[in-house]
Amino acid sequence: MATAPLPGSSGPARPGGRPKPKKKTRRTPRQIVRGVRRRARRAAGRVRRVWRRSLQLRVVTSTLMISMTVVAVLGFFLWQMIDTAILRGRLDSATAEARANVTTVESYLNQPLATPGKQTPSSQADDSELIFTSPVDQAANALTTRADGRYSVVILNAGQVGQDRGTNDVDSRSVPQKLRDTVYRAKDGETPAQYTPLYYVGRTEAVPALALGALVDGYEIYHFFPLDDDVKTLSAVQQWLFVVGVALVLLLAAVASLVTRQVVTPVRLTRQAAERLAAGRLEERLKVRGEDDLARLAASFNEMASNLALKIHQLEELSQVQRQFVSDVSHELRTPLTTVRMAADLLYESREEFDPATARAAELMQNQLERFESMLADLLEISRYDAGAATLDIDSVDMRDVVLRAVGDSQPLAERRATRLDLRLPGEPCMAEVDSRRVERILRNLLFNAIEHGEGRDIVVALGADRDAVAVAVRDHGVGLKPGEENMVFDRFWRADPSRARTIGGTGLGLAISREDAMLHGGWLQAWGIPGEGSQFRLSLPRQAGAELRGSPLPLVPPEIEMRRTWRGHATPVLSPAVEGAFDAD
Amino acid sequence: MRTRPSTAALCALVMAALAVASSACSTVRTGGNIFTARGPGKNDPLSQPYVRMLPAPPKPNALPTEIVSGFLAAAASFDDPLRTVAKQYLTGDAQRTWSPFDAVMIYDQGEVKTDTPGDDLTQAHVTLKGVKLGELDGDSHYVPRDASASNDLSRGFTLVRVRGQWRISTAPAGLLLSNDDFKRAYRSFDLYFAAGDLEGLVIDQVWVPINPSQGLAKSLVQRLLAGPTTPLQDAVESAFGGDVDVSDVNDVTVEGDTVVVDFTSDVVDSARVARYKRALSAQLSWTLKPLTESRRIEVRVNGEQFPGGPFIIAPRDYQGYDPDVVDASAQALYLRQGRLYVIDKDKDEPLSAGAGPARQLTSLAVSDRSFSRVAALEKGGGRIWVTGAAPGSPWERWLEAPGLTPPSWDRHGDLWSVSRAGPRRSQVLRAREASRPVPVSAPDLEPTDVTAFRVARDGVRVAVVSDDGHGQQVLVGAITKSRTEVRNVRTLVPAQAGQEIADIAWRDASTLLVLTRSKNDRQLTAVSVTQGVTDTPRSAARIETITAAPEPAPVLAGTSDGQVLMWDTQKRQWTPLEKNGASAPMYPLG
Repeated sequence: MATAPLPGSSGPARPGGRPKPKKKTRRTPRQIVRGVRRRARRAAGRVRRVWRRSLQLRVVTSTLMISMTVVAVLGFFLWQMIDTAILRGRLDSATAEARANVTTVESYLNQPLATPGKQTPSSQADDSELIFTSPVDQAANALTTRADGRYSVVILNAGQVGQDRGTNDVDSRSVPQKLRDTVYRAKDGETPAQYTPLYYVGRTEAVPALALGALVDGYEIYHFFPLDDDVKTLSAVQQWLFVVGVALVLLLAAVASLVTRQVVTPVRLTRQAAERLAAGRLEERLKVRGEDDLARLAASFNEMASNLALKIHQLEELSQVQRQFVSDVSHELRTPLTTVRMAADLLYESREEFDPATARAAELMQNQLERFESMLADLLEISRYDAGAATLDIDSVDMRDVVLRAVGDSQPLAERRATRLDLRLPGEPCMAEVDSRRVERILRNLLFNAIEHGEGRDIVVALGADRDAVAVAVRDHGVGLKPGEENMVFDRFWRADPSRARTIGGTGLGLAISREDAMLHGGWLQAWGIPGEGSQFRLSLPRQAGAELRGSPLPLVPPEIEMRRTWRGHATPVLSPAVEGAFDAD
Repeated sequence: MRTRPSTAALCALVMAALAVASSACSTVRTGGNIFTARGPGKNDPLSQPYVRMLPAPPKPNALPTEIVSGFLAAAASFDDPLRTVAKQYLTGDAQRTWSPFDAVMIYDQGEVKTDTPGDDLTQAHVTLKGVKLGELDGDSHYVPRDASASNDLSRGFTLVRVRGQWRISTAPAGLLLSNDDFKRAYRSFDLYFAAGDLEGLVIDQVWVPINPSQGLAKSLVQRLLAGPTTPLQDAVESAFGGDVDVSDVNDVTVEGDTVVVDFTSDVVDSARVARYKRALSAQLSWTLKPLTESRRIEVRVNGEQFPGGPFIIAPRDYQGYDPDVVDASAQALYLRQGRLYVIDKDKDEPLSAGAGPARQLTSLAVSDRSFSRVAALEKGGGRIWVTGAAPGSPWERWLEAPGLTPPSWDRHGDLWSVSRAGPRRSQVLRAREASRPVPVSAPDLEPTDVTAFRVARDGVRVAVVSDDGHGQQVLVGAITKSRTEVRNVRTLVPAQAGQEIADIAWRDASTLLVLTRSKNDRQLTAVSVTQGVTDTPRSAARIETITAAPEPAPVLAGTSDGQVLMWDTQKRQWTPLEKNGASAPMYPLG
């Protein structure tokens, strides 16, 4: 059918390209590459075919694409908003806490030095009440109590020895050098902050954290707020967004698929019905459900189908009547014609007794009567075809004999027209199961036709054969055929030039009958012609009766013309036999 | 192609629905039921906040004093037990010889001075001067300074130039920690060890260094496995046995409401005998109590369930192991005209026990809360009488020896006293029944004059007032496991000129009340036997005897004029409870 001429699909059909399957030869890399490429091409072709053929797939795919884009964009912005909101809140609370702590540290560092009173370790029986003497320890202790594990504080002093403190297990390498530099440059009231990895002593992996720095009397105070909870929250949100997004996209695809299915299914049913209708099943109808657009489509389709069936029926009847009429007329004409013929024979035999003019008239009448008779015979023959009454009398014959007999019959006429018949027959016999009478008639018709239009130039008769088929081509070098006339020549009573008289006295039905004969054999009768180049008629027949004809052993276009055409680069493609076959089925 | 617009419309519809739904969810409720707001859970409930010294490597071109200060600071940092950073302040030779494990000395008012001005020399001397506060033994036991000796601290450092930089070539052995450093780096914890027949616990106080790379709880359990400190060396035992040591603790973690202590398989042997298993559980639950609070403790072996069923310790099952034995609701007895009375505002009847002829009794000892046995010292100190709880049970004579100290019961039902045969000749006696005293060896006490001997409620510690010729002092010792010796005697309250020790009484397992009498004043001081002085002394005029029970039970005192007083903690004064010839109030045990 309408299979697209795909480059890949025709490749593997030809098994000759592969190495012999029996011998397991090692394939070269080039072969492998070619194989892979071929397979890929084939897969791509299959996908493309599915893509072109399925409306549903296209709709679902485009819905997927669009919804994916929308969901991705939406999800991205949503994610950005959540991210900003969470981190902003964290930053605000962290900054507030860090500032409060810095104030506390300031108050500790600025207080008058604690008078070193009676200090013994035993004075801290309650270990929750640690009393330190050095201000930095007091400050650090206050901060770690306040932090209670929620955040870590590092106090550094670049100027004095032994004043660096950290709370709990924070590692001093957590303090980024960049932040330290910034802290020294920062103005009053500014709190430089940085997102940084937070390290703990004894743990190798870092925790994402927010670091805030401040400078009080030479002491750098760094707060580290671990963000691992926020990171967990954010990654959970991210996962949910992703899952919801994917679910949404899939849902949309499913919805699209469902909707398309609701639309496509009736359309598909309609298409199938139309195909069946086209195949000749005129009784095909669609079920009409509901009153929507699709139901109305089905109703209109049904109406169209029934109108079509009615028209076809009417036309069939009409053509039946016409054929019957032709057949009847031919039969009815025969009886009076026989009488007229007998009378005309009498007149013709005694023509020498008449004056020359009358004798000429008798001769003419005799001629025209013969033509009339043969026309009637042809009409009867063709009406037999129309009635489907034609039968084949099949016999296995050597096609060379058939050709020679037909040529022999046409020889007198050819001599009269000073036309030379050039025979090109193969050396060995080419046997075919044909009805030799009908084939001979076809060839005779073709030869008469060629002689009539050959304008005295040579006529080439070629016989070709292959395993499945035999073909006879008759080539003349006459006026040729105009474009479009290749099929019209087989129409009944068609003539190339209506003004031209028939010299040979053809009935105008010869080629039509020939074509019917060829079709009866399951063969083809085709014509080719170019104005000024002559024409060629080719008869192709299967060697076995009833076998399907796949190709012809002889080209339709004569080789010299074809060669010249490719020479010039006018690459009008040669019609493939399959296409020609479709022509002939008409 | 009709599907395209409808799909797009559907898309838009879904998006719109989503937007509406999300905007509807985002509002916060403005009403509703009241609920309990819980703050965020702590990361590690077993940990406590602490501050760390961050060690810093030596600064380039630092002065010798700065180098020494930096070295001291870096050595005070407990990040790294090996003190790698501190060692950067030392020369190569010194790095090999100096070890942080040699000793721990705690000082105060430290000052780093150099006596070699100018930095053109090749060698410098720096001295750390301060006041010594105490030392930490190798077994993490804090030993306060000897109050009688001079406590000035002076430690010298020698510095030389190494590649142009000052480095310490000789440093005093071990760690020198300022008081701040010490408080920062160590936490004091009470360890509990089994005593007697594994039926009771004894407190042992240690200072556990904070190790940031492992939890405090793990450090504490490790320390518990390392065994008791020197003062209790032979007196108590660990139910874990000798096969389990520090390396057998894998981890201490929290899972919900359970604290999981993960040991290696060595612990299985320790818990094979039920008695040991119970004692072991009691030790763990009491030791971890400050960290675990009321959480249950599960013992696991290498991360898996204890063989033979889960080993779960519910702390309240081990309340009976309390080293204090009695609690604040304990009642005290007192004497009036040789009869026993219970201190009770409403009741003024003598107990029916202690029948027989009224004797001149001076001091009491009560064996338990139900007064099942009461011992009394006859005036003159020659005899100790004991009576039972049953109504009408008579006074039995248990001990008869010259110069007996007031009697004292231990938790196992033994009566203790010290007889003084002559000057500097004391003999500790123990009696389980009448007239069968067993002499107990006490090498440190025998050549002194012992005037008071009190067994603590945990049945292991003893407090002794003795005089070795330099004045009266309070000593603390421990009864060995075999109960045949009093050992590890050390001074708790040193002798001072013109000061006498009138009486002593145990408040709880580790706190001793000391009544001192100087020329014109009497003072009552609470002394922690594990740490030192814990309380400011309060005046105690007229008071002769004291007795105490775990707080908040009031301290009771007997005066010379026949009154029983009670220390009112709110008014901060003594208020009379009983009058008319009442004397010698006494709580059970202690």
